[in-house]
Amino acid sequence: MSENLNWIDRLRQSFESFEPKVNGNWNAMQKRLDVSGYSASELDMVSRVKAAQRFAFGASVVAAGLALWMVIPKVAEQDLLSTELENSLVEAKERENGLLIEDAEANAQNVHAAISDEHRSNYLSEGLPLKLDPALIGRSYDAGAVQLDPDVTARTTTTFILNLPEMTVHARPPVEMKEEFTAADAEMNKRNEEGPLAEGDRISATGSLEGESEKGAESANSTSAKSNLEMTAAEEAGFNISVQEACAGTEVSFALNGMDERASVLWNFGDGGFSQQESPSHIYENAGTYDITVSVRAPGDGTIRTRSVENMIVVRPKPAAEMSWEFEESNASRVNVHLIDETMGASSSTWIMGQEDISSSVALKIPGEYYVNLVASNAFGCQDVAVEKIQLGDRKEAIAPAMFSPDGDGRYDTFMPLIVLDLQDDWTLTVWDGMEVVFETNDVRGPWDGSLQDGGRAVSGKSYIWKLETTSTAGDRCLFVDNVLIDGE
Amino acid sequence: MSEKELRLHIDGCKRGDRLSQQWVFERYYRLMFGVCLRYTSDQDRVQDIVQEGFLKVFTNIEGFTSKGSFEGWIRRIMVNTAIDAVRKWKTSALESTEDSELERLSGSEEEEEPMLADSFTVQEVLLAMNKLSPAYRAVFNLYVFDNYSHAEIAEKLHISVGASKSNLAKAKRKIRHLLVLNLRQKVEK
Repeated sequence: MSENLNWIDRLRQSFESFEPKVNGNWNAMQKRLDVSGYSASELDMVSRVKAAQRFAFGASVVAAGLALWMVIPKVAEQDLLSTELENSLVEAKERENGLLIEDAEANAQNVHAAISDEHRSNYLSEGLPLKLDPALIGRSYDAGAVQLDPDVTARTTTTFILNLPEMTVHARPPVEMKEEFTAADAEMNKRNEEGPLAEGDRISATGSLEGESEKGAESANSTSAKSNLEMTAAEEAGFNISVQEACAGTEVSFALNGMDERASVLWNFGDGGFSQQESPSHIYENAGTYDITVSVRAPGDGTIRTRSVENMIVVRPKPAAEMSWEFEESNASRVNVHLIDETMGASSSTWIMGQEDISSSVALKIPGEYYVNLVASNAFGCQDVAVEKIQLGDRKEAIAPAMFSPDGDGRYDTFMPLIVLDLQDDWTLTVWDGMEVVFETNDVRGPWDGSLQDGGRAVSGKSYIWKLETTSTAGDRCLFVDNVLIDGE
Repeated sequence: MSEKELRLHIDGCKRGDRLSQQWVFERYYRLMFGVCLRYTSDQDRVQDIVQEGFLKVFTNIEGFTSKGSFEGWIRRIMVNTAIDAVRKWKTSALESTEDSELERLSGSEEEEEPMLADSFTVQEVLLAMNKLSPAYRAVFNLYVFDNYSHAEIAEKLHISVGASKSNLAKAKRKIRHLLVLNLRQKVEK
C-alpha cells in the first residue's frame, strides 16, 4: 500500500532532472538578442517609431532645400519622439519586470516605498483618520481575505510585540526640532514655504479645516510648533520585538508596548498591508523577509515619527497540505477508508478526525458524514491543514429498495438507487459478492437486472452488497453502501 | 557546474556578455524544454516558448536577486511564458473544465485499480498529460511540478480557488487512471 502513497511525489521525481535530447538554437537566440532585448510588442513599437522618425527626417531633408525654418520644428519633434520612446520602453521593461519576475520581496518593497511616501504626505496634510486609497495599496486589503479552509483549527498564532519606550511630549527649540524632521516633514516645509499650493494640499490652502489638521500644518511650519515626540535612546537603537519568525498564511498579531493611548499609529507590514489599529493582526501570504515600519504620531501633533527596522520578520513557507482518500472494503455497516497524504515538502503530518488522531486507515460507520483533517508541518514548524468531507449513506439516503425480484414478472425486476436521478455528477454503481464485483453500471437506463458479469444470475435468497460512488464538482466524494436481498419465490 | 561559475555567468549576463548568455542558454535549454513540454505537446511550439522565455530571462536578468535559486527563477519565467502562450493559442482553452472523452474513460473501471507500484517513464506521463484538457493540464502542471499554490493558480488562470482544487483533483485521478490503464496494457503484452 505504501508504494501507492506518494505516486505524485514519484511523478515529480521522474521529471526532476528531465532533460529531453534537444538542442537550442543559440544563433537564433542571439539574433533576437541583437535586436536589443525588447519583447515582440516593444520591437514592433520601436520599428514603427523608427519608421516615423525616418519619415520625419526625410521630410525635413526635402524641406530643407526649400525653406530652412521648416526643418527646425521637425527636428525638435524627432527629439521629442525619441525621448518618449525611451521613456515608454523603460516603463514597459519595468512593468514587465514586476510582472514576470514575481520577486515578492522586491515587489513588496516597491509597494512599500511607493505607498509610504504617499501616505506620509496624506498623513501630514489631512490628519487622522488616514484615508487609504485601496487602488494605491493594491493588494494590501487582500491579505485579510486569505483563503482559509473553514475547519482549520491547527493554525498557531504569533504575536509580534513592539516595545515602545515611554513617549514623552515636551517642547523643544525649533532649531533642534528641525533636525529630527523626516524627509516628508522637510518636503512639507518646503511646500509651505513655496507659497501657492497644488491642488490636494487643502490644509494650508484653506487653513480652516478641523483643529487637528490645522495644528498639523502649524507644526509643519516648524516655527510655531510647541510639542514634539521625542525618541529615547532605546528607541533609536531599534524596536524591541518579541518574534522574528512567522509562518505564511498564519495570523501574526502586532502590539506596541508603552504606547500613549491618545497617539495615532500606522503599521506598514512591508508586504503592501497597512493598519491603523494599535494592535493589529496581519497574515503574510508569501514567505520572505519583510520590513515592518511603524509610524507614530503624538496627539495633536502634526509631526510623524517613522522608524523602519530591516529584516524585522521572516515569514517561513508553509506546506500545502493535500490529501485524498479511497474507499476500501466495506460491508453494509462500515467502510474502510484509506487516507492518502499528498503533501509536498512536509516533515510530519497527522490525521485528525473530530478531536482524535487517527491512522491512515480508518473504519467509518454508515451512515455518517465525516470531516478528516490532515495537519502537515514542515521543517520550520509551519503547518497547514487540508480537510476532506467523507459522506457515507445507506439505502434510505440512496432511495434504494431493500430487496428486488429479478424474475421477469414485470414487478420489481431491477435494482437502481433512485438518488442517481438527482446526481449532477458521474457515479458508479457496483454490486459485490464478497470481495468480487459482480455487476457495474454508470447508466441510469442500465439498472441491475440480476445478471452477473460472469454470465450467471443472482442467487435467490442471497444478499449482495452494493456501492454507489459519486464525486461532486467541488471534489466531495460520497459513498452509499447497503445490502440488497434477491427475493426468492 | 560550480556555484561560483554560475554566479560569474549571471553577472556576465547582467552586463549583456554574449558568452555568458550562451553559457546560460546551453546550460538550461534542455531542462527548460522539459518544463515547457509539460504544458504543450507540440514540439515546435515548445521551441518557440523556450526561446521567448530565454529572451525574457536575458532582458530581465537585472531583476534576479542572488537570494533565490537561479534555476527556479528561470523556471518561473518559462512557466509564465508557457501559460501565456497556451492561452494565446487556444483562446478560452484554459477556462474549459469538461473533457468528455476523458470523463468517459475514467468513468469506467473505477474499482480495483492496481497500485502504481511499477515506475513509469516521463514519456508515459507526458502521453497521459496529452490526454488532459488544457485547463486540467495547466492546473496539474502548475501545482504538481511547478509548486504553485491554489491561490496563485487561480490568479494566473483567472479561475476560482475552488475550481483550481477541483480541477487538480480530477486531473490527478485521470492521470492516475491513464497510467494504470497503460500499466495494464503493458502487463497484457
